[in-house]
Amino acid sequence: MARIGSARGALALLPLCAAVAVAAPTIEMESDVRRVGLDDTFQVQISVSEAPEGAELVLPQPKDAQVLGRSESTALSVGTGRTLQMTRSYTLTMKPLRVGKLTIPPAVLKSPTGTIKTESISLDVVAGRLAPAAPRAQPRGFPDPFQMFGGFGRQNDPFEQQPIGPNDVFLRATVDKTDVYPGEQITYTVSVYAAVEVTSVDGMKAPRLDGFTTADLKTPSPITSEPQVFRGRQYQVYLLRSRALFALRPGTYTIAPTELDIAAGGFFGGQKLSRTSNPLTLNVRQLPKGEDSTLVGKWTMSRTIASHQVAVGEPTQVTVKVEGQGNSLNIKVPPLNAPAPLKVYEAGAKDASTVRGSVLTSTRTAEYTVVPQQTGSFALPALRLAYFNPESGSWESTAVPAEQLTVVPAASAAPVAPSAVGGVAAASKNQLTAANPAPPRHAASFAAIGDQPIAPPLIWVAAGAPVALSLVALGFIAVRRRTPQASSAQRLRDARKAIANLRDPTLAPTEFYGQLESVVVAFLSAHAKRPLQGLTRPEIMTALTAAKVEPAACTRVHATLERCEVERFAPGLSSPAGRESLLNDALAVMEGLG
Amino acid sequence: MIIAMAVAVLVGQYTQAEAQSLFAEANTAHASGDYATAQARLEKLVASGMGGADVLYNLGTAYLNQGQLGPAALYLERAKRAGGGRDIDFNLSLVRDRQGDSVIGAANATPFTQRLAEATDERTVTVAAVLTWWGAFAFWWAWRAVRRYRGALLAGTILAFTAAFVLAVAAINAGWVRSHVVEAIVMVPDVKVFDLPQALGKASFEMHAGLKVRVMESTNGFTRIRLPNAVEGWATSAALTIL
Repeated sequence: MARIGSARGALALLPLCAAVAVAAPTIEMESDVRRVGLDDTFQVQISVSEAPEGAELVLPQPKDAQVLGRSESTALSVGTGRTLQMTRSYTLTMKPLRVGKLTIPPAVLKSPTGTIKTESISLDVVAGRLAPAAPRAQPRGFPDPFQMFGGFGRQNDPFEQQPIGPNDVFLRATVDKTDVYPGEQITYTVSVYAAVEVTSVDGMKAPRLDGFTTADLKTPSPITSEPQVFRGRQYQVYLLRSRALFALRPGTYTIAPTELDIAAGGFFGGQKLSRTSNPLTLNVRQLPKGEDSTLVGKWTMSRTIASHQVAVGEPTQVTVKVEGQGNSLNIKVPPLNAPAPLKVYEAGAKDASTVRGSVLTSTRTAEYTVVPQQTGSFALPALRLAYFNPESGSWESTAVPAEQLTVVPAASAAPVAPSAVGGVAAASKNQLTAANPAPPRHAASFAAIGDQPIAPPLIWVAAGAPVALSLVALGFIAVRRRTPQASSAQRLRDARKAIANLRDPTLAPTEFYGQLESVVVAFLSAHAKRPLQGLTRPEIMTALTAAKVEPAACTRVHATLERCEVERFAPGLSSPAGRESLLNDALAVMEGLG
Repeated sequence: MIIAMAVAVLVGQYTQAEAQSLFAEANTAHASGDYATAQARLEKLVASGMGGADVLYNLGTAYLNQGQLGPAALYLERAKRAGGGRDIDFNLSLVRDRQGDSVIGAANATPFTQRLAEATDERTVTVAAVLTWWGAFAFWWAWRAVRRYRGALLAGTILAFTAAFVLAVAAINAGWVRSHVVEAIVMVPDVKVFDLPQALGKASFEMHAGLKVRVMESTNGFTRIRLPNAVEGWATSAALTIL
């Protein structure tokens, strides 16, 4: 039985299935016998060709027979023009359960395009075992060539199988280079080399490619062959697949062999062969230091700006495109780094790949929407992208120069409706925002680092000065008050104050003259520096003389005191004018004494 | 004079003219977008001791334009302490906007004295205190000497002394906070903060460049920091620069 390929192998064959499924699907069911004994087993084979994707096969489940086993196989058969056709076959081994007519119901193929089914098969079941077995019906398409030659000995069979050696048909895996850098393309191909006729291949088991990203370069459908001389021998080479591999990290990697079943030697006398390809070893080197980039290949970068002059608030599209030979996965498109007045909205990046010959060409396109917020001329800075070129063995770079974008005032100052750009209202006015740092100061006054705001001694001096000055002033005043001149002046001030109080017209005469005498005597006491209260007038005069008061002054004092006494005890002599003149006289006396 | 010149050369001092020239070169570089050159020129001035609010502000702005939030915050804060200005406050607000941390609860946890000190300009308050002090004494002497308007003069004396007292308290507070409250700026892109002065176990939280923290104590290569919301922890001293 042909080996069933792995899921990967099956996946690898499905494209062929889809690619060649241009004809209508067919389903056939046939039994190897028409008459079977109750103790015998028989086989029913269902073959499905050109099944479209999503098709579902419903196998027959007869009531009067038991299904003992089931097997599947897939075959690629070579048709006319050396095209390949995929046929999937299911073989059910059954045993009848009763004698009589046995009906095998049809097999049904359900597909998105419709449902097709086979005819049912009728068998006759007899008791016991049928021996010898009735001639088995030959599967259609494979007539027994020996039937035509009754009695013709096998030893003289002209179609006897010729042995097919390992060098007649083999599977070969190749890479275009074994010493690479991470991200550098390796072209990996798997081909069948056949020196004899190949009728079909199936059961392909492809190896795992861990550590690599891959991309299909070529998966021929239909598979064609080319003549090629290999090691001095002519072969027909069938290319099964070609893939681009890109190593992810440095290291040594081994690609395991591919396994395949090949039917070779022609339709008559053909053989089923299992072949395994050669393993491959790859050495992935470390990228040399020099740039902060992991991009490998040969790349060019370009930038297009939809419009170099726009109105404020009006969006413009900027596209940055990186294309070249290599894997787009490692492309990091440099950011625009537009100045702050230009709001940049990223619309995303698109990748595209094409195959040119055996080289994978990739493109990454990053699109931006730029909405200027202020009028003026702004520079979109230059961009640079570094990559390692394996051909030259050195780091290279691709760059785009800086470009100017001129922003003019909008024709209408009214803000426009929120645009499709992230829902942000694209105001058409020159927006003067406080988003940027304040500008530097144009002039400087220098100060030593660490200076305190105001030197403490200065603070103490400034704070203590008024206190000190006040204390000095108060002290001065106090001292001055103790000097004779200060005392005299103070006495005079006190006397004037007392005299002023006596000018009250409501004072009774007795009280007036009494107080006036007291004020004068008190003044004289202070002047003479001895108490004179209670002394007689002659005694007061004596004291004044002793205090070196001039005789004229003593006379005036005497006259004043006498007048106080007379008018005090003779109220009739008192009058307001008289009082006033007495007050003035007393004041003049005291001022005369100083 | 020769000795003074020699000393100036040895300590890398610039004359006023040289300093102004260097400052102008930095501004020219800044205007053409060459912030790195502007930064280098200004750092020469600072290294030679020719600081002041203008130089520190321009240096902080050069760092800010280069996206280096740690040094930007450091020099702008120093400029604020050296004299302040609206442009300094504006750029500091930009640093805070762009800085990666949001300290929740900061306004309530900072002590009143510190908040008062931050809200007052020490120089202005000190000068005002001295002037009102002088004014109070003037009012008092006027009240003693002049016989008319004695009531108004007495009221003026009392008010002036009260104002001088309040302003003096504010100035003393600002001076005390300046000399006793040590603050630092996180200079590295990110730094882990631990519960103990050792890098063991899981970090309590992380801080990022440009954040201002208060320094409480230092030991074993670690500094105990306090955030404005009173959260504390230990960070590596090398990640911080004292203001």
